[in-house]
Amino acid sequence: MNTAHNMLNYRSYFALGVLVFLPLAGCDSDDDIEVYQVPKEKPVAVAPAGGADPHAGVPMPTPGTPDPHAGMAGVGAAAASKPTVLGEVPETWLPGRASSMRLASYSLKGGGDSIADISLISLAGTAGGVLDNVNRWRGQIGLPPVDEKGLADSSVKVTTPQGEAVMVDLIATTGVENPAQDGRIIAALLVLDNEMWFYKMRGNAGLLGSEKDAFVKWVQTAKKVANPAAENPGAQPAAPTTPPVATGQVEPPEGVTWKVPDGWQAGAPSGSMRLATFLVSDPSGAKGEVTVIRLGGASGGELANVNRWRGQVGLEPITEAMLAKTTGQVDSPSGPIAYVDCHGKPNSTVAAWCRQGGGTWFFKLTGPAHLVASERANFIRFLSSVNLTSQ
Amino acid sequence: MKSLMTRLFKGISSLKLTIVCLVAAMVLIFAGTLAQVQMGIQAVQAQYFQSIFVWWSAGGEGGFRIPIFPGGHLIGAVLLLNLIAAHIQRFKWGWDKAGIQLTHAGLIIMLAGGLLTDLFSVESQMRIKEGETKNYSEEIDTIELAVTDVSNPDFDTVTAIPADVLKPGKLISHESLPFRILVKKLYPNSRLQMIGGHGDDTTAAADKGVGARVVVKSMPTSSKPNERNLVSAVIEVIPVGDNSDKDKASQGTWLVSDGLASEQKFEAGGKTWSIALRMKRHYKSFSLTLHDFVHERYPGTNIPKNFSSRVTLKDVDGSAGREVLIYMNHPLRYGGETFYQAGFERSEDITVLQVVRNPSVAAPYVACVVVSVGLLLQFCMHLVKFSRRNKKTNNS
Repeated sequence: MNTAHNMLNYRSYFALGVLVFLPLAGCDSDDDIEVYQVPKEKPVAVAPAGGADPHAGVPMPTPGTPDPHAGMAGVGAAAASKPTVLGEVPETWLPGRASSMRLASYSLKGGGDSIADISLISLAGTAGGVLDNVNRWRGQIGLPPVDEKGLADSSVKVTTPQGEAVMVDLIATTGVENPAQDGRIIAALLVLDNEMWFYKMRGNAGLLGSEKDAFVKWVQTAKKVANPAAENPGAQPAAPTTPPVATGQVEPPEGVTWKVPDGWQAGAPSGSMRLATFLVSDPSGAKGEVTVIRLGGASGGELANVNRWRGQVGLEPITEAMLAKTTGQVDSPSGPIAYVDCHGKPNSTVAAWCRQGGGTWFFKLTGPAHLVASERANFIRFLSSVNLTSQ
Repeated sequence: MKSLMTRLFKGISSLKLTIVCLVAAMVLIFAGTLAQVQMGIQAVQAQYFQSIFVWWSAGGEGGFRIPIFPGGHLIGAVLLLNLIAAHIQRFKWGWDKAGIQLTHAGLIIMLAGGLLTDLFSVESQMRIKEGETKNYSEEIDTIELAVTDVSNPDFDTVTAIPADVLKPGKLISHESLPFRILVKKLYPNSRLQMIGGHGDDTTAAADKGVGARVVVKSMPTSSKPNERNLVSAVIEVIPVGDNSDKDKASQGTWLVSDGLASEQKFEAGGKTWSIALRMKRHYKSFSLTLHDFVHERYPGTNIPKNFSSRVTLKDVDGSAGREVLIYMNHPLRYGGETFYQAGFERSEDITVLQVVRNPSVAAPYVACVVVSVGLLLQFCMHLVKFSRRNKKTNNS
């Protein structure tokens, strides 16, 4: 009797639970209109993911036609992914704020108050077409519009990794409001499948003249690189842009000696494992780097490391049998150092390694393929000078 | 009546229902996994797992909808009720049953925790640049129309209209707004294009603000994990006078879009208003200031090894802040939220923190402990029984 009574109680509790629980399971967290107060937002130096003013950076007076790009965030494709754009830029170009619209942004200071603003902007579709955009820029610095023939006469073609761009160099002929900051626009337009890229340098006419070659070089080399954190953790970066440190010398670790070839600059080591970083470059502006790293133990084995380096420059892995054929050897004061060439496109690597004092030393030259080819002899000479005997 | 209740209770507590629920869950997971390829994880989560039924639209998009399978919430809820009912039905208190009771209780906690997480947890992101202070996080997959009264020099009053309310043809009014908002067009994914001028006969999206120089093209929605849909809308602002006054004329149409960054302002009711379609924001009672973001790679590679963000946490009331280092597997827990180091922006001076608010965060841990204790108890009791029986047999 008592048990039956208890059972009934349990069932009552259960029925009550069902009544409470079912609406909860079926409830939909439907949002309502909210009203709240927030402190005034200070102007921030970062774009929301939705976009940012693409012309932020160096303030530019915009006489004449208002710039329709102002305030429009980029929609590179139907749905915007977030690429990184890397290209060869001089060290004098200071990286500025990038956004979903400004794929790249730099500012530049010249003599006196002269400045320039450099940007790469992406807009969806044909974004008004080449002629209309050129005429818009012409209007901004007081130049009359041109027709198709005028555009063809005043523009040049520039080859970029994405395709052929049209480049114009526009110099104001009438009074410019602030000649230190404005008066000339050098720009290139690149029409892609679903978007249009605008490479643009605007500012003081003299400063732009001196930077024109560097700008052309940047247009020729700038390309999208997958976001290493979000999309492709193993993505190979373009030529490193580590700024050289002021010392000009990299002291080898205690107990180690080496001879640094002429032309190699000291670089700032990034990460705790790097014992030394050297920056190499050639007259074309291509940049690469040489790194020295020491790790404990065998550090993954020769084949695994070689295949990792090959993968970084887009090469297929090789087998143990092929490893012996592709590995060279340099004699150094502390014994032989093995090295391997990884000829990739657009980047190459020459990597070397040797065991010493219970650890493995890695020496690596990385950069654009033509630069690595020209620096290879210096790198081999550097390896032959490395003395680790006191380690 | 009593017998009907008894039969119903028996049915709900039956083992057959448990099996049916488990099989249905397996089928749902299998179907959802396949559907994810086409629909993307967000849509599948919503339609298959965070729903009472999985619906099929007869005649394609917008057609008559028919429920074709129980959704995740229904299966989970029935399974939970089944477990509780079975527990009540067969409940007999005694030390010899303690192990099995504890195991069942643990499973109930786990299922209930899962359901509560699904219903009430909120995930958002905080993007902070070095040197910047932020007091809000953003839901990257949810948009809102923020209508802000910017007249006061000290603070802004935000009226946040959620995405669910923004439907084409909907007239939105609220006591905080001296005007109504008519949603003329809504683009779940769009492409914005400047009007070329020089005889370009394309029609501008709106007649006020940036929209007067922009064309909006509707695009198919994307479900790729590394892509975002660019939501845009064309809205009309219709001021209202006091009760004795007739409605005033329209203040024009505006284009609002997740892809527009410039502020768009207008005057209404003697105040200045700003409108923006943006990611849904969650304001905090504290702020985070990012001092330093560090990204280490494995030597000689570009493979990320470690990310860390050194931040100062400060309450809005100005009480003394404390410095915190957030890095992988070492999140910051504060104010009922957990801040995980999730990523960084291309320039490597902007950190991305994943902000998770989950009121039932402890449920899985508690459930695991309870189930483990239950199983251990059950095993030990059987072991003791067995050894006693063995002893008896040997003695006799």
